[in-house]
Amino acid sequence: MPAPSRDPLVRFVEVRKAFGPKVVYENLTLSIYPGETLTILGGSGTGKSVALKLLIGLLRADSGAIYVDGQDIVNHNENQFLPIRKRISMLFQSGALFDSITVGENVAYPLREHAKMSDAEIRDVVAEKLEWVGLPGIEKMKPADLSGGMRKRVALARAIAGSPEIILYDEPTTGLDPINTRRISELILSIQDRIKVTSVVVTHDMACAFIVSDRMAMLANRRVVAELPAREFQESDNPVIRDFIYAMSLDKIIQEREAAGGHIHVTQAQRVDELDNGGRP
Amino acid sequence: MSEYLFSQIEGFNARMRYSLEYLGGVSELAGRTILRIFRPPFMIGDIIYQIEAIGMKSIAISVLTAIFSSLVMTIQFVVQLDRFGAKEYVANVVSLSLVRELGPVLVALMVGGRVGAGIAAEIGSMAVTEQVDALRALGADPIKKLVVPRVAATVIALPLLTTLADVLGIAGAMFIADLDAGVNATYFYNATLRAVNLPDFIGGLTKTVFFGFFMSVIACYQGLNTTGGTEGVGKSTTQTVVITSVVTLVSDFILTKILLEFGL
Repeated sequence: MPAPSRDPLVRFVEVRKAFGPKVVYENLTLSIYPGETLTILGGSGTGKSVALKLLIGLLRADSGAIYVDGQDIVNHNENQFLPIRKRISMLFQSGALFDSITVGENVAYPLREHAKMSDAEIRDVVAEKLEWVGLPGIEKMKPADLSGGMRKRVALARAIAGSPEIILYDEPTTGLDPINTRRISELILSIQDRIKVTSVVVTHDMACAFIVSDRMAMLANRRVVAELPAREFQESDNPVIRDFIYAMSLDKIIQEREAAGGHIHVTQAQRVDELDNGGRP
Repeated sequence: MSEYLFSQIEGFNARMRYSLEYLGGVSELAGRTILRIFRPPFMIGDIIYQIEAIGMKSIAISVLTAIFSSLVMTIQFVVQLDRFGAKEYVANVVSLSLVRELGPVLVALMVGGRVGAGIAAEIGSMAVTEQVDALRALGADPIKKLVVPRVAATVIALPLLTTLADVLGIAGAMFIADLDAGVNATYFYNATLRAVNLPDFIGGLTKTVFFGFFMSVIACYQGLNTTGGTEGVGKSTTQTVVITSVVTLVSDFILTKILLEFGL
Protein backbone atom coordinates (compact mmCIF):
# COMPACT_ATOMS: atom_id res chain seq x y z
CA MET A 1 0.00 0.00 0.00
CA PRO A 2 1.22 3.51 -0.71
CA ALA A 3 1.93 6.02 1.96
CA PRO A 4 -0.36 8.98 1.23
CA SER A 5 1.90 11.17 3.35
CA ARG A 6 4.45 11.20 0.53
CA ASP A 7 4.42 13.97 -2.07
CA PRO A 8 2.17 13.20 -5.00
CA LEU A 9 3.87 12.19 -8.26
CA VAL A 10 1.10 13.69 -10.36
CA ARG A 11 -1.21 16.49 -9.35
CA PHE A 12 -4.15 17.96 -11.27
CA VAL A 13 -4.98 21.40 -9.87
CA GLU A 14 -8.21 23.12 -10.84
CA VAL A 15 -8.01 21.86 -14.40
CA ARG A 16 -10.61 23.06 -16.86
CA LYS A 17 -11.18 21.38 -20.20
CA ALA A 18 -13.94 21.94 -22.73
CA PHE A 19 -14.59 20.72 -26.27
CA GLY A 20 -16.39 23.64 -27.86
CA PRO A 21 -19.51 24.26 -25.77
CA LYS A 22 -19.20 20.94 -23.92
CA VAL A 23 -17.37 21.43 -20.63
CA VAL A 24 -15.72 18.18 -19.51
CA TYR A 25 -13.92 19.42 -16.40
CA GLU A 26 -14.80 22.56 -14.55
CA ASN A 27 -12.48 22.23 -11.64
CA LEU A 28 -10.62 18.93 -11.61
CA THR A 29 -8.29 18.41 -8.69
CA LEU A 30 -6.68 15.03 -8.12
CA SER A 31 -3.44 13.65 -6.71
CA ILE A 32 -1.65 10.45 -7.64
CA TYR A 33 1.00 9.11 -5.28
CA PRO A 34 4.13 7.19 -6.27
CA GLY A 35 3.69 3.43 -6.40
CA GLU A 36 -0.09 3.39 -6.00
CA THR A 37 -2.81 2.28 -8.38
CA LEU A 38 -5.51 4.91 -8.59
CA THR A 39 -8.72 4.13 -10.42
CA ILE A 40 -10.80 6.92 -11.90
CA LEU A 41 -14.45 5.89 -12.08
CA GLY A 42 -17.29 7.62 -13.78
CA GLY A 43 -20.17 7.14 -16.18
CA SER A 44 -19.80 7.23 -19.95
CA GLY A 45 -19.15 10.73 -21.18
CA THR A 46 -17.81 12.08 -17.88
CA GLY A 47 -14.39 12.51 -19.46
CA LYS A 48 -12.47 9.79 -17.69
CA SER A 49 -10.12 9.19 -20.61
CA VAL A 50 -9.60 12.92 -21.03
CA ALA A 51 -7.66 13.01 -17.75
CA LEU A 52 -5.20 10.42 -19.10
CA LYS A 53 -4.85 12.23 -22.42
CA LEU A 54 -4.17 15.52 -20.65
CA LEU A 55 -1.47 13.85 -18.61
CA ILE A 56 0.38 12.45 -21.61
CA GLY A 57 -0.17 15.53 -23.76
CA LEU A 58 -2.56 14.13 -26.36
CA LEU A 59 -5.00 16.85 -25.27
CA ARG A 60 -4.29 20.26 -23.75
CA ALA A 61 -6.05 21.72 -20.72
CA ASP A 62 -7.75 25.10 -21.10
CA SER A 63 -6.55 26.28 -17.71
CA GLY A 64 -5.29 25.02 -14.38
CA ALA A 65 -2.09 23.11 -13.72
CA ILE A 66 -0.92 19.52 -14.04
CA TYR A 67 2.25 18.72 -12.13
CA VAL A 68 4.37 15.70 -12.95
CA ASP A 69 7.14 15.41 -10.37
CA GLY A 70 6.64 19.05 -9.46
CA GLN A 71 6.85 20.31 -13.03
CA ASP A 72 3.79 21.98 -14.60
CA ILE A 73 3.16 20.42 -18.03
CA VAL A 74 0.04 22.30 -19.08
CA ASN A 75 1.88 24.64 -21.42
CA HIS A 76 4.44 22.11 -22.68
CA ASN A 77 4.84 21.83 -26.45
CA GLU A 78 5.19 18.57 -28.35
CA ASN A 79 8.98 18.53 -27.90
CA GLN A 80 8.83 19.24 -24.19
CA PHE A 81 6.47 16.30 -23.81
CA LEU A 82 9.09 13.85 -25.12
CA PRO A 83 10.82 13.31 -21.76
CA ILE A 84 7.39 13.01 -20.09
CA ARG A 85 6.35 10.36 -22.60
CA LYS A 86 9.47 8.33 -21.89
CA ARG A 87 8.34 8.13 -18.27
CA ILE A 88 4.62 7.68 -18.85
CA SER A 89 3.10 5.05 -21.11
CA MET A 90 -0.50 4.47 -22.01
CA LEU A 91 -2.62 1.42 -22.73
CA PHE A 92 -5.28 2.55 -25.18
CA GLN A 93 -8.87 1.43 -25.00
CA SER A 94 -8.73 -0.32 -28.38
CA GLY A 95 -5.14 -1.45 -27.83
CA ALA A 96 -4.07 0.80 -30.73
CA LEU A 97 -1.52 -1.70 -31.99
CA PHE A 98 0.06 -0.63 -35.27
CA ASP A 99 -1.49 -3.11 -37.69
CA SER A 100 1.07 -2.64 -40.45
CA ILE A 101 3.84 -4.24 -38.36
CA THR A 102 4.20 -7.48 -36.41
CA VAL A 103 3.47 -8.02 -32.73
CA GLY A 104 7.21 -8.16 -31.98
CA GLU A 105 7.85 -4.84 -33.73
CA ASN A 106 4.91 -3.32 -31.89
CA VAL A 107 6.31 -4.28 -28.51
CA ALA A 108 9.79 -3.16 -29.59
CA TYR A 109 8.51 0.26 -30.69
CA PRO A 110 9.15 2.24 -27.50
CA LEU A 111 12.61 0.65 -27.23
CA ARG A 112 13.55 1.63 -30.77
CA GLU A 113 12.23 5.16 -30.17
CA HIS A 114 13.98 5.84 -26.89
CA ALA A 115 16.44 3.24 -25.72
CA LYS A 116 19.90 2.79 -27.15
CA MET A 117 19.81 -1.00 -27.28
CA SER A 118 21.16 -3.57 -29.71
CA ASP A 119 18.75 -5.66 -31.77
CA ALA A 120 19.54 -8.72 -29.65
CA GLU A 121 18.80 -6.87 -26.41
CA ILE A 122 15.55 -5.55 -27.85
CA ARG A 123 14.59 -9.09 -28.90
CA ASP A 124 15.17 -10.32 -25.34
CA VAL A 125 13.10 -7.56 -23.78
CA VAL A 126 10.26 -8.17 -26.25
CA ALA A 127 10.28 -11.90 -25.53
CA GLU A 128 10.31 -11.24 -21.78
CA LYS A 129 7.41 -8.75 -21.88
CA LEU A 130 5.31 -11.05 -24.08
CA GLU A 131 5.94 -13.82 -21.61
CA TRP A 132 4.80 -11.59 -18.75
CA VAL A 133 1.44 -11.07 -20.43
CA GLY A 134 1.15 -14.80 -21.09
CA LEU A 135 1.74 -14.73 -24.84
CA PRO A 136 5.27 -16.04 -25.40
CA GLY A 137 6.52 -16.64 -28.92
CA ILE A 138 3.94 -14.70 -30.94
CA GLU A 139 6.40 -12.03 -32.17
CA LYS A 140 5.89 -12.91 -35.83
CA MET A 141 2.10 -12.61 -35.81
CA LYS A 142 0.22 -9.58 -37.12
CA PRO A 143 -2.20 -7.72 -34.81
CA ALA A 144 -5.07 -8.55 -37.18
CA ASP A 145 -4.58 -12.26 -36.39
CA LEU A 146 -5.20 -11.76 -32.66
CA SER A 147 -8.41 -11.86 -30.62
CA GLY A 148 -9.56 -8.80 -28.68
CA GLY A 149 -8.18 -10.08 -25.38
CA MET A 150 -4.82 -10.97 -26.93
CA ARG A 151 -4.52 -7.52 -28.53
CA LYS A 152 -5.06 -5.89 -25.16
CA ARG A 153 -2.33 -8.07 -23.68
CA VAL A 154 0.10 -7.29 -26.50
CA ALA A 155 -0.73 -3.60 -26.06
CA LEU A 156 0.03 -4.04 -22.37
CA ALA A 157 3.38 -5.64 -23.24
CA ARG A 158 4.13 -2.62 -25.44
CA ALA A 159 3.12 -0.23 -22.67
CA ILE A 160 5.57 -1.80 -20.21
CA ALA A 161 8.40 -2.47 -22.67
CA GLY A 162 10.05 0.91 -22.18
CA SER A 163 10.12 0.51 -18.38
CA PRO A 164 7.84 3.46 -17.66
CA GLU A 165 7.37 4.98 -14.21
CA ILE A 166 3.68 5.61 -14.75
CA ILE A 167 1.22 3.50 -16.74
CA LEU A 168 -2.13 4.88 -17.82
CA TYR A 169 -4.84 2.31 -18.51
CA ASP A 170 -7.75 3.56 -20.61
CA GLU A 171 -10.69 1.21 -20.01
CA PRO A 172 -8.50 -1.90 -19.98
CA THR A 173 -11.41 -4.35 -19.79
CA THR A 174 -13.96 -2.75 -22.11
CA GLY A 175 -15.27 -5.18 -24.70
CA LEU A 176 -13.88 -8.28 -22.98
CA ASP A 177 -15.76 -11.26 -21.61
CA PRO A 178 -15.74 -11.87 -17.81
CA ILE A 179 -12.87 -14.39 -17.98
CA ASN A 180 -10.66 -12.06 -19.98
CA THR A 181 -11.70 -9.12 -17.79
CA ARG A 182 -10.49 -11.02 -14.77
CA ARG A 183 -7.29 -12.05 -16.54
CA ILE A 184 -6.41 -8.48 -17.63
CA SER A 185 -7.21 -7.15 -14.17
CA GLU A 186 -4.90 -9.70 -12.59
CA LEU A 187 -2.22 -8.91 -15.17
CA ILE A 188 -2.36 -5.26 -14.17
CA LEU A 189 -1.93 -6.35 -10.58
CA SER A 190 1.01 -8.64 -11.34
CA ILE A 191 2.77 -5.97 -13.39
CA GLN A 192 2.31 -3.59 -10.51
CA ASP A 193 4.09 -6.15 -8.36
CA ARG A 194 6.89 -6.82 -10.80
CA ILE A 195 7.97 -3.33 -11.80
CA LYS A 196 6.56 -1.19 -8.99
CA VAL A 197 5.03 1.41 -11.25
CA THR A 198 2.45 4.04 -10.49
CA SER A 199 -0.77 3.23 -12.32
CA VAL A 200 -3.82 5.23 -13.24
CA VAL A 201 -6.76 3.13 -14.38
CA VAL A 202 -9.81 4.63 -16.00
CA THR A 203 -12.79 2.32 -16.03
CA HIS A 204 -16.48 1.88 -15.34
CA ASP A 205 -15.96 -1.81 -14.67
CA MET A 206 -16.37 -2.15 -10.89
CA ALA A 207 -14.94 -5.67 -10.80
CA CYS A 208 -11.73 -4.56 -12.46
CA ALA A 209 -11.60 -1.49 -10.22
CA PHE A 210 -11.85 -3.50 -7.02
CA ILE A 211 -9.20 -5.98 -8.18
CA VAL A 212 -6.53 -3.44 -9.11
CA SER A 213 -7.08 -0.30 -7.00
CA ASP A 214 -5.36 1.07 -3.95
CA ARG A 215 -7.44 4.21 -4.16
CA MET A 216 -10.44 5.26 -6.20
CA ALA A 217 -11.67 8.60 -7.48
CA MET A 218 -15.22 9.22 -8.63
CA LEU A 219 -15.91 11.67 -11.46
CA ALA A 220 -19.27 13.38 -11.69
CA ASN A 221 -20.53 16.87 -12.47
CA ARG A 222 -17.26 17.79 -14.22
CA ARG A 223 -15.07 17.22 -11.17
CA VAL A 224 -13.84 14.59 -8.73
CA VAL A 225 -16.58 14.12 -6.15
CA ALA A 226 -14.72 11.58 -4.03
CA GLU A 227 -11.16 10.35 -3.71
CA LEU A 228 -10.88 7.50 -1.22
CA PRO A 229 -8.93 4.35 -0.43
CA ALA A 230 -10.59 1.30 -2.04
CA ARG A 231 -12.04 -0.02 1.23
CA GLU A 232 -13.58 3.33 2.24
CA PHE A 233 -14.87 3.82 -1.28
CA GLN A 234 -16.67 0.52 -1.07
CA GLU A 235 -18.27 1.49 2.23
CA SER A 236 -19.03 5.07 1.23
CA ASP A 237 -22.62 6.23 1.67
CA ASN A 238 -22.29 8.89 -1.04
CA PRO A 239 -25.34 8.16 -3.26
CA VAL A 240 -23.42 8.77 -6.50
CA ILE A 241 -20.87 6.16 -5.49
CA ARG A 242 -23.45 3.69 -4.20
CA ASP A 243 -25.54 3.93 -7.38
CA PHE A 244 -22.45 3.38 -9.44
CA ILE A 245 -21.11 0.42 -7.50
CA TYR A 246 -24.38 -1.45 -7.17
CA ALA A 247 -26.14 -0.65 -10.47
CA MET A 248 -24.84 -3.86 -11.99
CA SER A 249 -24.29 -5.86 -8.83
CA LEU A 250 -25.23 -9.40 -9.74
CA ASP A 251 -26.48 -10.23 -6.22
CA LYS A 252 -28.76 -7.21 -6.23
CA ILE A 253 -30.10 -7.94 -9.70
CA ILE A 254 -30.91 -11.55 -8.82
CA GLN A 255 -32.59 -10.40 -5.59
CA GLU A 256 -34.68 -7.85 -7.49
CA ARG A 257 -35.62 -10.44 -10.06
CA GLU A 258 -36.74 -12.93 -7.44
CA ALA A 259 -38.69 -10.27 -5.52
CA ALA A 260 -40.55 -9.16 -8.64
CA GLY A 261 -41.46 -12.68 -9.68
CA GLY A 262 -38.82 -13.44 -12.27
CA HIS A 263 -38.38 -10.19 -14.15
CA ILE A 264 -36.81 -6.78 -13.67
CA HIS A 265 -38.75 -3.54 -13.22
CA VAL A 266 -37.45 -0.66 -15.26
CA THR A 267 -36.15 1.80 -12.72
CA GLN A 268 -32.63 2.92 -13.21
CA ALA A 269 -32.80 3.18 -17.00
CA GLN A 270 -36.08 5.05 -16.82
CA ARG A 271 -34.58 7.54 -14.40
CA VAL A 272 -31.70 8.20 -16.74
CA ASP A 273 -34.11 8.77 -19.63
CA GLU A 274 -36.10 11.21 -17.52
CA LEU A 275 -32.95 13.10 -16.65
CA ASP A 276 -32.05 13.31 -20.33
CA ASN A 277 -35.53 14.69 -21.03
CA GLY A 278 -35.13 17.39 -18.42
CA GLY A 279 -37.22 15.63 -15.79
CA ARG A 280 -40.17 14.69 -18.00
CA PRO A 281 -40.99 10.94 -18.13
CA MET B 1 -36.58 38.56 -43.35
CA SER B 2 -33.76 40.00 -41.28
CA GLU B 3 -33.60 36.71 -39.42
CA TYR B 4 -33.16 34.86 -42.69
CA LEU B 5 -30.44 37.27 -43.77
CA PHE B 6 -28.73 36.91 -40.42
CA SER B 7 -28.70 33.10 -40.63
CA GLN B 8 -27.34 33.32 -44.18
CA ILE B 9 -24.53 35.61 -43.09
CA GLU B 10 -23.80 33.37 -40.15
CA GLY B 11 -23.64 30.32 -42.42
CA PHE B 12 -21.33 32.13 -44.78
CA ASN B 13 -19.17 33.16 -41.84
CA ALA B 14 -18.89 29.59 -40.59
CA ARG B 15 -17.95 28.32 -44.06
CA MET B 16 -15.32 31.02 -44.43
CA ARG B 17 -13.86 30.23 -41.04
CA TYR B 18 -13.79 26.53 -41.89
CA SER B 19 -12.05 27.17 -45.22
CA LEU B 20 -9.46 29.45 -43.65
CA GLU B 21 -8.81 26.95 -40.87
CA TYR B 22 -8.42 24.21 -43.45
CA LEU B 23 -6.00 26.28 -45.52
CA GLY B 24 -4.06 27.17 -42.39
CA GLY B 25 -3.93 23.56 -41.24
CA VAL B 26 -2.70 22.26 -44.59
CA SER B 27 -0.10 25.04 -44.85
CA GLU B 28 1.15 24.31 -41.36
CA LEU B 29 1.45 20.61 -42.13
CA ALA B 30 3.23 21.41 -45.40
CA GLY B 31 5.75 23.59 -43.57
CA ARG B 32 6.40 21.05 -40.84
CA THR B 33 6.79 18.30 -43.41
CA ILE B 34 9.39 20.24 -45.40
CA LEU B 35 11.36 20.96 -42.22
CA ARG B 36 11.35 17.29 -41.27
CA ILE B 37 12.23 15.95 -44.73
CA PHE B 38 15.65 17.55 -44.44
CA ARG B 39 16.27 16.66 -40.81
CA PRO B 40 17.79 13.27 -39.92
CA PRO B 41 16.88 10.44 -39.57
CA PHE B 42 15.94 10.39 -43.23
CA MET B 43 13.50 7.45 -43.21
CA ILE B 44 15.03 6.05 -46.40
CA GLY B 45 13.55 2.59 -45.87
CA ASP B 46 10.05 3.96 -45.31
CA ILE B 47 10.33 6.25 -48.34
CA ILE B 48 11.36 3.38 -50.59
CA TYR B 49 8.49 1.29 -49.29
CA GLN B 50 6.06 4.12 -50.07
CA ILE B 51 7.53 4.67 -53.55
CA GLU B 52 6.69 1.05 -54.19
CA ALA B 53 3.16 1.42 -52.80
CA ILE B 54 2.46 4.81 -54.37
CA GLY B 55 4.60 4.77 -57.51
CA MET B 56 5.04 1.25 -58.79
CA LYS B 57 1.42 0.36 -58.21
CA SER B 58 0.24 3.45 -60.11
CA ILE B 59 2.14 2.60 -63.29
CA ALA B 60 -0.70 0.76 -64.98
CA ILE B 61 -3.29 3.46 -64.33
CA SER B 62 -0.94 6.29 -65.43
CA VAL B 63 0.15 4.56 -68.62
CA LEU B 64 -3.38 3.52 -69.54
CA THR B 65 -4.69 7.04 -69.06
CA ALA B 66 -1.90 8.60 -71.13
CA ILE B 67 -2.10 6.12 -74.00
CA PHE B 68 -5.86 6.29 -74.45
CA SER B 69 -6.03 10.08 -74.16
CA SER B 70 -3.32 10.43 -76.77
CA LEU B 71 -5.00 7.91 -79.06
CA VAL B 72 -8.27 9.84 -78.91
CA MET B 73 -6.53 13.17 -79.29
CA THR B 74 -4.63 11.96 -82.33
CA ILE B 75 -7.65 10.72 -84.26
CA GLN B 76 -9.63 13.87 -83.39
CA PHE B 77 -6.83 16.19 -84.48
CA VAL B 78 -6.18 14.27 -87.66
CA VAL B 79 -9.78 14.84 -88.76
CA GLN B 80 -9.73 18.56 -87.95
CA LEU B 81 -6.24 19.24 -89.29
CA ASP B 82 -7.01 17.34 -92.49
CA ARG B 83 -9.64 19.97 -93.35
CA PHE B 84 -6.76 22.42 -93.74
CA GLY B 85 -4.54 19.82 -95.40
CA ALA B 86 -2.27 19.90 -92.37
CA LYS B 87 -2.66 16.47 -90.84
CA GLU B 88 1.15 16.04 -90.72
CA TYR B 89 1.15 18.60 -87.92
CA VAL B 90 -0.64 16.12 -85.69
CA ALA B 91 2.72 15.02 -84.27
CA ASN B 92 3.56 18.53 -83.09
CA VAL B 93 0.14 19.18 -81.61
CA VAL B 94 -0.27 15.88 -79.78
CA SER B 95 3.29 15.52 -78.49
CA LEU B 96 3.55 19.08 -77.25
CA SER B 97 0.20 19.08 -75.51
CA LEU B 98 0.93 15.71 -73.98
CA VAL B 99 4.34 16.68 -72.63
CA ARG B 100 3.40 20.18 -71.52
CA GLU B 101 -0.09 19.68 -70.14
CA LEU B 102 -2.00 16.47 -70.54
CA GLY B 103 0.66 14.07 -69.29
CA PRO B 104 1.29 15.91 -66.02
CA VAL B 105 -2.36 16.80 -65.34
CA LEU B 106 -3.96 13.48 -66.29
CA VAL B 107 -1.41 11.48 -64.35
CA ALA B 108 -1.81 13.80 -61.38
CA LEU B 109 -5.60 13.44 -61.48
CA MET B 110 -5.53 9.67 -61.76
CA VAL B 111 -2.73 9.09 -59.27
CA GLY B 112 -4.20 11.78 -57.03
CA GLY B 113 -7.44 9.86 -56.91
CA ARG B 114 -5.80 6.54 -56.22
CA VAL B 115 -2.98 7.62 -53.93
CA GLY B 116 -4.82 10.46 -52.24
CA ALA B 117 -7.70 8.18 -51.31
CA GLY B 118 -5.27 5.47 -50.21
CA ILE B 119 -3.26 7.77 -47.97
CA ALA B 120 -6.34 9.42 -46.45
CA ALA B 121 -7.97 6.05 -45.76
CA GLU B 122 -4.84 4.52 -44.26
CA ILE B 123 -3.91 7.42 -41.99
CA GLY B 124 -7.59 8.09 -41.29
CA SER B 125 -8.10 4.52 -40.05
CA MET B 126 -5.03 4.91 -37.87
CA ALA B 127 -6.44 8.13 -36.45
CA VAL B 128 -9.84 6.68 -35.56
CA THR B 129 -8.33 3.55 -33.98
CA GLU B 130 -6.07 5.70 -31.76
CA GLN B 131 -2.92 4.52 -33.56
CA VAL B 132 -1.86 8.10 -34.28
CA ASP B 133 -2.35 8.94 -30.60
CA ALA B 134 -0.38 5.81 -29.71
CA LEU B 135 2.49 6.98 -31.93
CA ARG B 136 2.59 10.29 -30.10
CA ALA B 137 2.24 8.63 -26.71
CA LEU B 138 5.21 6.39 -27.54
CA GLY B 139 7.24 9.53 -28.15
CA ALA B 140 7.26 9.26 -31.96
CA ASP B 141 6.40 12.10 -34.31
CA PRO B 142 3.45 11.24 -36.58
CA ILE B 143 4.57 13.79 -39.19
CA LYS B 144 8.01 12.22 -39.40
CA LYS B 145 6.70 8.64 -39.34
CA LEU B 146 3.58 8.92 -41.47
CA VAL B 147 3.61 12.13 -43.49
CA VAL B 148 7.24 12.54 -44.54
CA PRO B 149 7.63 9.12 -46.24
CA ARG B 150 4.36 9.52 -48.17
CA VAL B 151 5.02 13.08 -49.28
CA ALA B 152 8.62 12.35 -50.29
CA ALA B 153 7.57 9.21 -52.16
CA THR B 154 4.78 11.00 -54.05
CA VAL B 155 7.06 13.90 -55.00
CA ILE B 156 9.65 11.43 -56.32
CA ALA B 157 7.22 9.05 -58.00
CA LEU B 158 4.91 11.47 -59.80
CA PRO B 159 7.55 12.96 -62.19
CA LEU B 160 8.76 9.45 -63.00
CA LEU B 161 5.25 8.23 -63.71
CA THR B 162 4.62 11.30 -65.87
CA THR B 163 7.79 10.68 -67.87
CA LEU B 164 6.71 7.14 -68.54
CA ALA B 165 3.22 8.32 -69.47
CA ASP B 166 4.64 10.99 -71.81
CA VAL B 167 6.83 8.52 -73.66
CA LEU B 168 4.21 5.79 -74.00
CA GLY B 169 1.51 8.31 -74.85
CA ILE B 170 3.60 9.65 -77.73
CA ALA B 171 4.36 6.11 -78.86
CA GLY B 172 0.63 5.37 -78.89
CA ALA B 173 -0.09 8.51 -80.89
CA MET B 174 2.64 7.58 -83.37
CA PHE B 175 1.18 4.14 -83.79
CA ILE B 176 -2.40 5.27 -84.38
CA ALA B 177 -1.32 8.14 -86.66
CA ASP B 178 0.54 5.72 -88.91
CA LEU B 179 -2.18 3.09 -88.81
CA ASP B 180 -5.29 5.22 -88.99
CA ALA B 181 -4.29 8.50 -90.65
CA GLY B 182 -1.41 7.51 -92.87
CA VAL B 183 1.06 9.80 -91.12
CA ASN B 184 4.33 7.92 -91.46
CA ALA B 185 5.76 6.81 -88.07
CA THR B 186 9.31 7.92 -88.88
CA TYR B 187 7.98 11.31 -89.92
CA PHE B 188 5.95 11.49 -86.70
CA TYR B 189 9.02 10.59 -84.65
CA ASN B 190 11.23 13.21 -86.24
CA ALA B 191 8.53 15.87 -86.06
CA THR B 192 8.10 15.16 -82.35
CA LEU B 193 11.82 15.50 -81.70
CA ARG B 194 11.81 18.84 -83.50
CA ALA B 195 8.68 20.12 -81.77
CA VAL B 196 9.28 19.04 -78.17
CA ASN B 197 12.28 20.67 -76.54
CA LEU B 198 13.84 20.12 -73.16
CA PRO B 199 12.16 23.19 -71.58
CA ASP B 200 8.73 21.76 -72.51
CA PHE B 201 9.56 18.52 -70.78
CA ILE B 202 11.11 20.20 -67.72
CA GLY B 203 8.16 22.57 -67.43
CA GLY B 204 5.77 19.60 -67.39
CA LEU B 205 7.78 17.72 -64.80
CA THR B 206 8.17 20.77 -62.57
CA LYS B 207 4.40 20.94 -62.31
CA THR B 208 4.18 17.30 -61.25
CA VAL B 209 6.54 17.95 -58.35
CA PHE B 210 4.10 20.56 -57.07
CA PHE B 211 1.05 18.39 -57.82
CA GLY B 212 2.64 15.50 -55.92
CA PHE B 213 3.44 17.70 -52.94
CA PHE B 214 -0.02 19.27 -52.78
CA MET B 215 -1.93 16.01 -53.18
CA SER B 216 0.07 14.07 -50.61
CA VAL B 217 0.05 16.81 -47.99
CA ILE B 218 -3.72 17.29 -48.41
CA ALA B 219 -4.32 13.55 -48.19
CA CYS B 220 -2.19 13.27 -45.04
CA TYR B 221 -3.93 16.28 -43.51
CA GLN B 222 -7.32 14.72 -44.22
CA GLY B 223 -6.16 11.43 -42.74
CA LEU B 224 -4.70 12.93 -39.55
CA ASN B 225 -7.84 14.98 -38.95
CA THR B 226 -10.28 12.13 -39.48
CA THR B 227 -12.84 11.71 -36.70
CA GLY B 228 -16.07 9.78 -36.36
CA GLY B 229 -15.12 6.15 -36.84
CA THR B 230 -15.41 4.22 -40.08
CA GLU B 231 -17.96 6.67 -41.45
CA GLY B 232 -15.45 9.45 -40.89
CA VAL B 233 -12.81 7.53 -42.82
CA GLY B 234 -15.17 7.22 -45.80
CA LYS B 235 -16.00 10.90 -45.65
CA SER B 236 -12.43 12.11 -45.48
CA THR B 237 -11.42 9.74 -48.30
CA THR B 238 -14.09 11.14 -50.62
CA GLN B 239 -13.23 14.69 -49.64
CA THR B 240 -9.59 14.04 -50.40
CA VAL B 241 -10.31 12.92 -53.95
CA VAL B 242 -12.43 16.00 -54.62
CA ILE B 243 -10.03 18.45 -53.03
CA THR B 244 -6.87 17.03 -54.63
CA SER B 245 -8.52 17.08 -58.08
CA VAL B 246 -9.61 20.69 -57.71
CA VAL B 247 -6.23 21.73 -56.33
CA THR B 248 -4.45 19.97 -59.22
CA LEU B 249 -6.56 21.75 -61.84
CA VAL B 250 -6.38 25.18 -60.22
CA SER B 251 -2.68 25.00 -59.40
CA ASP B 252 -2.00 23.82 -62.96
CA PHE B 253 -3.33 27.11 -64.27
CA ILE B 254 -1.26 29.15 -61.83
CA LEU B 255 1.89 27.06 -62.33
CA THR B 256 1.57 27.27 -66.12
CA LYS B 257 1.33 31.04 -65.87
CA ILE B 258 4.40 31.22 -63.63
CA LEU B 259 6.49 28.71 -65.59
CA LEU B 260 5.81 30.53 -68.88
CA GLU B 261 7.42 33.58 -67.29
CA PHE B 262 10.55 31.49 -66.85
CA GLY B 263 10.42 30.25 -70.42
CA LEU B 264 9.34 26.72 -69.44
